[in-house]
Amino acid sequence: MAVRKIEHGHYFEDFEVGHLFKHHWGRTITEGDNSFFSSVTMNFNPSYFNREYAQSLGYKNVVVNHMLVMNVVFGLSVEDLSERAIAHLGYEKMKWHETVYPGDTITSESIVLSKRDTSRPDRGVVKFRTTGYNQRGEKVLEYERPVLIRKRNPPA
Amino acid sequence: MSITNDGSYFEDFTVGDTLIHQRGRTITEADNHIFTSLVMNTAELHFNQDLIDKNPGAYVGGKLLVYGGVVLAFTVGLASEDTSENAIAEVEMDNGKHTNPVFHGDTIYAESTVLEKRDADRPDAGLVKFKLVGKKPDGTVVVEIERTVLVKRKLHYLQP
Repeated sequence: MAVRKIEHGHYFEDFEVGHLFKHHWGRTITEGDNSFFSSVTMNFNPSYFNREYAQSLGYKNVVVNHMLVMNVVFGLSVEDLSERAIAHLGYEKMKWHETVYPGDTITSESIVLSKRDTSRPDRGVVKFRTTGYNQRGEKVLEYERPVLIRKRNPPA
Repeated sequence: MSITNDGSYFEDFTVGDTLIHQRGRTITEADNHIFTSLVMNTAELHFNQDLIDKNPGAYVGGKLLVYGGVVLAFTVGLASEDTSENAIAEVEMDNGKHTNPVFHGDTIYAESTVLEKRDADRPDAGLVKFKLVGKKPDGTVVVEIERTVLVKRKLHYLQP
């Protein structure tokens, strides 16, 4: 019998440039997720919540809000990349690819692009490139993001 | 009334114009918790008050931080009626920065400056690039990003 505290997330020292993380879980995005997210963030592009209108633009159903796609791809990456972060700094070269529809299942993976120290010894910046896929393995989104991450053992 | 307004088609945007979007949005504790969890974000500094209370000096502002993806999504939302109600898709974002933290109770406003317009690879729509900025009421910028949207052309969709 043992009582163990199980830790999640990585520190600055844990990242190796070139390492590929295949992130956990995946997430099927439902119509409910999409309507809720679009309405509450007041995103008034009707292709996200009016099926007839979306179909008039040539889509087969409502389209999943691009910001929800981004947030799910990002969210799935957090435990591996940024659970120990001090701050998420920004987004670069973000591009949406295949249209995501309700019922599609999103998975996410990231490669470590670079690491650098900062003026403060207890933290560093790691840059990742994250890619999101649908259930057919088609790319739905990619972006790069720099994250300010704690060091496990900051120099004294 | 039509489904979308007729003032935000590709032809309606002028490079150099800045659009100040009317509405603001107070980001509540509920917004942050629900959206962070909805998208499977497991970073506790967005939702574990006890973690912050035990060592506030280790966290930005010594408070629970609103997840940046939520800040960006609300900023896009505030800009949407004026910039992407007639969009076919969001295409790209680049050079995005979270320049200041957002905490529960902060209110965000949005502005969009038209940086560029260009043809797309389809005749019924064009690409508009905006500089999107999210600000607090005192003018503090919390997020800025270049955002390219594929927008319907009036010529194609509003033929008399």
